[in-house]
Amino acid sequence: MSLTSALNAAKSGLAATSTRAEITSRNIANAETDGYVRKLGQAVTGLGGTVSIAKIDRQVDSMLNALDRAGISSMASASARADGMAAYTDVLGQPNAEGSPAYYLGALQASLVTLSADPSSRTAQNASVLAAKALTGNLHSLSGAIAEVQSEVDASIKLDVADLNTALQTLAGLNRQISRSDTGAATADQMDRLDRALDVIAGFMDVQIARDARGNTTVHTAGGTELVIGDQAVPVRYDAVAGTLSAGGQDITPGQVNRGFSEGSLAGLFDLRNNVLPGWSAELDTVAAGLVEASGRLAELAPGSGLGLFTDAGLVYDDANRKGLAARIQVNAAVDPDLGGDPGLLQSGGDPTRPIGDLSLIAGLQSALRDKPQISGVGSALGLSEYVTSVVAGQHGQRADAQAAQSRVAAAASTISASRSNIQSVDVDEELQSLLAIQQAYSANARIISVVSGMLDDLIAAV
Amino acid sequence: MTTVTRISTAQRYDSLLDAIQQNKGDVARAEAEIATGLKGDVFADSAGKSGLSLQLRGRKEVVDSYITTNAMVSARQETAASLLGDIGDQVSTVRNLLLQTPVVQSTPGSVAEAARAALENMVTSLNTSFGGIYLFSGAATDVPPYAAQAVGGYAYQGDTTGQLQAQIDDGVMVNIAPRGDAAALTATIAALSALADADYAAMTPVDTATFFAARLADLGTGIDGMLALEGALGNAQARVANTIATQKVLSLRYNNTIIGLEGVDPEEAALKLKEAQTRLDSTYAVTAKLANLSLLNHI
Repeated sequence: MSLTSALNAAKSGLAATSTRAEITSRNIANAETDGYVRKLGQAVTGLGGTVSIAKIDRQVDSMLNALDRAGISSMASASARADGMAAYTDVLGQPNAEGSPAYYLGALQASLVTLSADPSSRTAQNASVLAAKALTGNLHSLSGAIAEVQSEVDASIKLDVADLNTALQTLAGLNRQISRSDTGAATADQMDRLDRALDVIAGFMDVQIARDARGNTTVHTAGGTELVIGDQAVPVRYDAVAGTLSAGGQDITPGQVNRGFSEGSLAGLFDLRNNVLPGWSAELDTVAAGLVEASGRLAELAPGSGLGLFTDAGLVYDDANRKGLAARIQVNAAVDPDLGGDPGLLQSGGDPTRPIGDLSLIAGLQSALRDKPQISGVGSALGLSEYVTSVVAGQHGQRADAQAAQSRVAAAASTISASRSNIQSVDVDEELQSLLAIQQAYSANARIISVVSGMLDDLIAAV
Repeated sequence: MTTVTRISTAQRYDSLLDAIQQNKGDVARAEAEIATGLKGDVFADSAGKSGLSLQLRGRKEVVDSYITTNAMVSARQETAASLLGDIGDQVSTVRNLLLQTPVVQSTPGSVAEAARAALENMVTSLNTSFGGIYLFSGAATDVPPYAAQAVGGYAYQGDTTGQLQAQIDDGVMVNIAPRGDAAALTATIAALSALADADYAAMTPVDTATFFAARLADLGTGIDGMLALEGALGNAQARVANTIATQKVLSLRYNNTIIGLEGVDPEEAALKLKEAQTRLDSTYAVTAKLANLSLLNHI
């Protein structure tokens, strides 16, 4: 051991503490950066007692990463479902709001009660026609709301697929950088970027991730379809007409029997697109079919016409055309004063011999709105008004269940996410403590250099 | 051994931000519930019973309409009963006159005059409209039941097939008034017309007495028949009154059930608001304290 060795050791100490200071300052600078993982310099002792930072470690728990990504996927799908459902049920409103067909059907029934007490009253006849038009207007509005949500869901799927492909490309690009690097291994910053890209992908779908010792990452859907292999990203494509999703020609549409996935925002959006919204739309069509069928069968407004108070866009209803009926249902133009019709037909049914105080047709219409419609899809014990109520309550119930599921998933996912952040992210106070130690180490090494330098000066002066 | 959990700076503030947002949402929801007296989300808070709430709202609206319209039905029945009573009184006057046959036999003109007056009053009563509706024309409510004929007398021109009815509850019909061509009414009109239009000058006293006796019998039958009509109408009135009373009870019950399903307990809502406000206040206090707790402040 010599003074020169002491100088070398102190010099290496200065260099090492400088590196540690740089690492600490980066940690502090990125304390609020999403996805940044805390770095630690790993010091090793070299020849002659020198010190160097051999490696920069990332404080990562891979099990927590996997759990957090699963949580991200679950939360994204639950949020997509709940948000999509709420966008429609907000239009339906709460029971006290004037938004649901149950409200408008009740109003129509009440207006018919008033009309039945005074069948010849033009005011009461007009009020009933207006109530019927309000009901059809509500069905149009709800049908439009579903179409609007459907359109938003389609747009969201397209955007998500585009962002997913970008994230897959980013991942493949990082794999390419790693394989072409001098060391052939990923740097700590590259690993951060890889993890961030994987977090983004997990938001869209649940995936299987495999990583080799050098950091190269392969990604498959949860069902096993390749998405990223080496530096190649498999493009994901959305067929808006067929409502399918594919990766490299392989069908990965959620909700189908395939090698796709079942969580993530795309899973939630596809559930809305292919199951929830078509189901709700069909329920509205069934409500409309019940109105058209019952009023036409039990309360014809013109003998033999087959047309009652409600029509399929002015025509006799054929149950084979039920799809989309909620958007087409119209009040019979023959009774609509706005279209030159005669609301008195509600009472007379077009029969000139029917006395003006005869309320049999009105009573028939009231009965039609209470009785069980002769159409498929309505429970055997349900009358039309009960069916309408069950549809509204059922749709809201699905939304409430989805929101409850969203809350449950969010609570679980946020706990895991918090644990991941606590372990992997930066604690500024901790870094400041490290900085104090670095400062002391730097001062000590500098002091050694100063002292040894003085000793050497003394030695030279003595010679 | 003590385990110290590490908390990252980002997570510390994220958690506080989440807590603040959550608590603010809770406060807003509690405030809205207190302001409206209703649950914020009936479908989520009354799972399984929200359908009942919707059903009852619709049902209540219909029942309330029945209560309103049945009051009108009741008023029409009351008018019809009153008119029938007036007619009965008028006819009874003529009948009482005929009961004094030995006296009036010598002055048949007074009987004819009384009968004509009673007849005209009766037709006027039967032709009375209530709110633009002729009560005694059956379902032909736009036509006065009786019209004077060119050859003299009156003829029924109302509906001959149905009755003037009202639906007082789902599928429950009651008669509002008897039809003007009811046997009791037509027989009475015929008897009064005969008394008013008879050529007494051409009759012998014996013929007059016989004629009066026959009409007296006719009027008696008519009055009995009208009493029967009034009785039937009274029963229908009682039915409407009972239905209205039942519907008022139902409406109140529906309302109470709806409030039970959709409403919030004021004390509970106030406690929830207080608790949410306290949580929010505490979270703000913790956030402010943590912002000042840093090693930076000591080095």
